Amino acid sequence: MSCFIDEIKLKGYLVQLNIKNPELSNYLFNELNLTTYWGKEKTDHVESPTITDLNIWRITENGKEFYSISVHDYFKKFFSGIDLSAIKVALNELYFNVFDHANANGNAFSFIRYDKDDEKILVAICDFGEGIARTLRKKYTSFKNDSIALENCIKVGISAQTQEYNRGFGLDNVASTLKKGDMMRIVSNQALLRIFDDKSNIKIFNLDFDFNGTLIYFEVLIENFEEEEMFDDFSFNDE
Amino acid sequence: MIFHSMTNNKIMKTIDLKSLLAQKSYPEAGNFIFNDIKDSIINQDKIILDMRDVLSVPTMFLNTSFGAIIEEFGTEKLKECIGFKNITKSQVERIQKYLIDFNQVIKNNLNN
Repeated sequence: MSCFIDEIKLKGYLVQLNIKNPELSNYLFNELNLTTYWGKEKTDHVESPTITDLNIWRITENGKEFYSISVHDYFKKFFSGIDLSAIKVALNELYFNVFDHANANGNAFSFIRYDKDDEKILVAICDFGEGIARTLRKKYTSFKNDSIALENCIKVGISAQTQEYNRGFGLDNVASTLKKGDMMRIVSNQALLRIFDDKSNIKIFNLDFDFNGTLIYFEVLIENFEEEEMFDDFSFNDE
Repeated sequence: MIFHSMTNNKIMKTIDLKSLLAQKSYPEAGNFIFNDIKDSIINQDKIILDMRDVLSVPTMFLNTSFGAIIEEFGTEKLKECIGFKNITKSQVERIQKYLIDFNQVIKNNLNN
């Protein structure tokens, strides 16, 4: 919804949300502080008063590394002793992807929450850029449709190589952290990819509409993170 | 911060990755490490990466550091000249997976 509002505002239209449900209204306007994001000046992030919400963040070039640290530190306060680095790695990979490939003109947001009932961390990252599928099809002409492109995007070595340092390991790095009970969805252009549990369970769907951009959503169970374990020294020769 | 020491007639250079990442982006820090590892391979020295308080090693760092070394010198040379201090189990696993995946991609590219 943030991307949609941003797109509409960018075109000069007035956005007015008429919410009849008081609970939803309170959530959007008081907890998420939605209107503050598009006030007199655009705001990248507003602190939320609730414990479980990290609130919406506009993905910015300068803030992309800092925000992944904030998210990691936020969860670390509640889950000490657990190695949550996979979340930070995933955010690093996905935020860099937005800037390396999306051409989203600043229209990119992430929203991260902790679901207390299911004990899951939920991450959504969306941009209204070119879309992963379309970007890959420019480079790999053998990908005849968006579904094939999306199916390949999580394989190692598949990259649009927009930047020299892109080598096609990022999305695999995110998808490979998924374990039993986790889930990931990627919606881009005219395709949807869904992973249940881990990378061995992938389904691809054709969409009958064109989503101009990329939405990546994943859920990870807290119980799937391992306890922190530190080695004083490590060398490959010791293996 | 960078420290030098001597072990078995080899110069051992220790790089504090956290302070490097405070000054450089992941790809830039990777390039910096690449140059140090390259010098170490040529001079037959050793690089120790101190990972204390480093929260993650994403692939845009690994690509410009370890990946670039593998392309130029091969995996064995990389393994010989690099070591780690204060590294977490998950970081070790992630780096090991990366090395396997990178070699697989090289093989695939050669076959195509």
